[in-house]
Amino acid sequence: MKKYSWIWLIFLVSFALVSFVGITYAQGSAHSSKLSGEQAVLFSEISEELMCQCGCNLVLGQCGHVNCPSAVPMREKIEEMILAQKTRTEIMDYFLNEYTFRGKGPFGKVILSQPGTTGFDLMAWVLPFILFALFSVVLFVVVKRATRVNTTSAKNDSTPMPSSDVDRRIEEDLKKLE
Amino acid sequence: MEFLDRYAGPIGNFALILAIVMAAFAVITSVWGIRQKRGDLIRVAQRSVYTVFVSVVFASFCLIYLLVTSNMNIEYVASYTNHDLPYFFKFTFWAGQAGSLLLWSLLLAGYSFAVTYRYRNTHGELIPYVIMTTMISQIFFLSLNLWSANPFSELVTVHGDGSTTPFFPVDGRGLNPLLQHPAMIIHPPTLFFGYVGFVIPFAFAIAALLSGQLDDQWIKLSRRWTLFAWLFQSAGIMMGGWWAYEELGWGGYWAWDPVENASLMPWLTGTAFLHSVMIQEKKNMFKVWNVTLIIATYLLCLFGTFLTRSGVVSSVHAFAEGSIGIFFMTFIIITLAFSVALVIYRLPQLKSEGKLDSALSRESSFLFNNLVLLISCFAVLWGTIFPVISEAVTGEKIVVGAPFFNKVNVPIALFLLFLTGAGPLFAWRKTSLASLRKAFLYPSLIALAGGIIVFIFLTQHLYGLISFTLSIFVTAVIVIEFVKGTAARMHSTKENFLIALKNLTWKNKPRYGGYIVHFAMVIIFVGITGVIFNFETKTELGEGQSFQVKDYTLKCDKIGFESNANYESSFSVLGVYKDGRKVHELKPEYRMYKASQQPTTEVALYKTIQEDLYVVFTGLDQTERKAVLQIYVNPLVSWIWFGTEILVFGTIICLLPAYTEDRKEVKVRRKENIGEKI
Repeated sequence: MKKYSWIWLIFLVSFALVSFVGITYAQGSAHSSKLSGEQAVLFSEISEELMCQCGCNLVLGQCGHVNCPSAVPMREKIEEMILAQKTRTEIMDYFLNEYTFRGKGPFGKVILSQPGTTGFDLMAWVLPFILFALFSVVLFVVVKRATRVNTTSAKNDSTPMPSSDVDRRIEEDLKKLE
Repeated sequence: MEFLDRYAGPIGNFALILAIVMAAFAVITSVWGIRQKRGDLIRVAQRSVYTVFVSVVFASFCLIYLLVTSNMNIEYVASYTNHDLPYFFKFTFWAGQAGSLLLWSLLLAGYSFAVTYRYRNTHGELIPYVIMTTMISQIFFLSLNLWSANPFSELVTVHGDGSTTPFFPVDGRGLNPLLQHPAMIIHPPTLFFGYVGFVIPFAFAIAALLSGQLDDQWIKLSRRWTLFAWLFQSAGIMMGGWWAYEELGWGGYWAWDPVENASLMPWLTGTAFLHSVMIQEKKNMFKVWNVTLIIATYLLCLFGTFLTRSGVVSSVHAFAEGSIGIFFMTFIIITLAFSVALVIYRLPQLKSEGKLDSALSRESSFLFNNLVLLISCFAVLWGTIFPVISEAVTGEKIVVGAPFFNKVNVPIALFLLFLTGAGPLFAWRKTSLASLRKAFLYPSLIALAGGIIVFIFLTQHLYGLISFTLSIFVTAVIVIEFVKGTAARMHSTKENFLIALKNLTWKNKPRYGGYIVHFAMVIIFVGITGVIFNFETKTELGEGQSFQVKDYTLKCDKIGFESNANYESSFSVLGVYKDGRKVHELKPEYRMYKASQQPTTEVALYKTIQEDLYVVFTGLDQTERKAVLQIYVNPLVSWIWFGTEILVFGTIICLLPAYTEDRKEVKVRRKENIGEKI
């Protein structure tokens, strides 16, 4: 292995170069034209927390409909409220409790892009991870048990391991073919 | 031609009726043949499958003919095309409900034909059951085509006396503008090839359960079919992303839309199945698990189609909604109940024959990988159906959008990425702690060094940092695997590096093809991680004006208007300058399609390996004659599409037949061994 260590070093260095040449740009965050700095970040975050109401079922920040009758005024309203120094809570409260679209609304929780963290909504967040924990334990027990049984049976197993050169060669060949 | 113009619809309809009759006949004769142990009946069933295929192909040609000749008397033609629609799009008969169900039927008939023909003289204990299973699916889809969404229905005018005459509208409603994109020509068939393809391993599993042949034969027979379906499912999903990126104009490629989720779920369980079958092949273990996984995969394929077709969860794919959800749900429930009952009935024979040698083994790592893939699948399923469940439980409507899926799935996906690298470091059967430590050492050190570089020079974003570090770890593992194997070959055969690398891969295609697929996943992950650097801005530009965005200067050279038979468009021509040099020209458009009166934007893209400059023409300021532009700089997106190409390449390597010389050699040695023992 040592003899050929230069080969994999070349591989890795090439990959590292390709990766880092590919990603040598400055960082930035999404923003709207009239906003700057923290305001733009806030705009972007709120756009991700609200759903567009035109029926596209997309997050406000993702709705790309041309002149969307819902997304465009919603974005303008967010921008206007941010420029008026409203806080995130005030803006979210407005969309939850006051915002209307084509005579419908206020929308309540339906305008939010993700479930809340109280009551039944909490189930949406925790159930996958509860199942993950639960099944990890089950898997651990299954593997442990299967291994222990095997250790016991291996002790009682009188079949000799392959010893002849031919057997070993076959094992190697079969391994090659795996 | 006049005859065809008049009768292509009824002939197509007749072909569908013939197909469903022959599919039913194939089911009856295969079951009868099995019970009576009569080869002649099985052969009749095989020929019936061939007839089904020919009939459905014929029906599809009839529909294509009607679409291409713009026969507006056919409701489907009038609903999804218009006279001025380019021919290119008229061929895509899967734009609407009835057509896409016909595509299902066509592909299923094709798969059934291929499997039946391939094993026409062999595996007689399984194939009749396979025929039965695929043909029951076929009957279901053909019956939808005949009685719920018939692509050959004619438009008629009903007169006062109750009589009817054919009705020919002047023009059709036209194809949804969002579907008028090259990706939509190949994305649905590719994805359907995946969805439908999983019917075959499912049919083999059912065949094994029904026949009691529960050794690994069904897995060996269905392995390539599964990989083939998985390949198309993967490519179809990525093509969907490509379409969304280039057509929807919001700067992204994955919105966690219910229909996107529906395509991802069977992919996840299918991936788990492809890994876990290796344990059954090697150790004769986890038979129940494998059967369950492939049943789940097939049911999720049906569920995906149900989601697309029923409109039970609103989606951007709403153009495919219909009223056939109840049929789908019934079929899914019956299939689920039958499969579960069958598995329970066969439980005693499905017991594992082998045992695990150690908890630290490749087998255990595969099990853990299965668990993570299934949890990821569950998280997607749970989020997709949670609005329905929540409304049923609390009576209150809620929405589960992209932020939820990102928050829940990103950590799971990163864990999977780690397992992609860690899995190959475990040996089959047993790994000692010492050898594991040794195996982890170099990749971990390389990843650690890479992670520090990423942290200092690139990003402190937690998930971004983890993703890049793990990508380096997995790449290191894969490269070391290749280099170790190549070095060993160079040592023993004296081949040069490239020849040794080629032969190493060629002589063990499933293993090294698999590594290539893993590497492709790394590239895709790197591409997806680029989202943390996304930049977005908005501007208005008049002719001659410029705008600086990141490293680029955009200069508006022209604002213009165009019109053709299909649409009217306003556009701007933008020169893209970098470091004072013109590197590209972009032409973002705003189109209004005449037939459907729907507007769309045509995104203009300047792609490099480093980043995409993505410009959307969102409108025209008429008073000042300025183009309103939404501009995105999306780093590393090209890596996603490049990774997909590598994934296809790696999967094709896995699909190629095994190296025959080696097989012969092993057989010869086996004989030698038997001779010695005698």
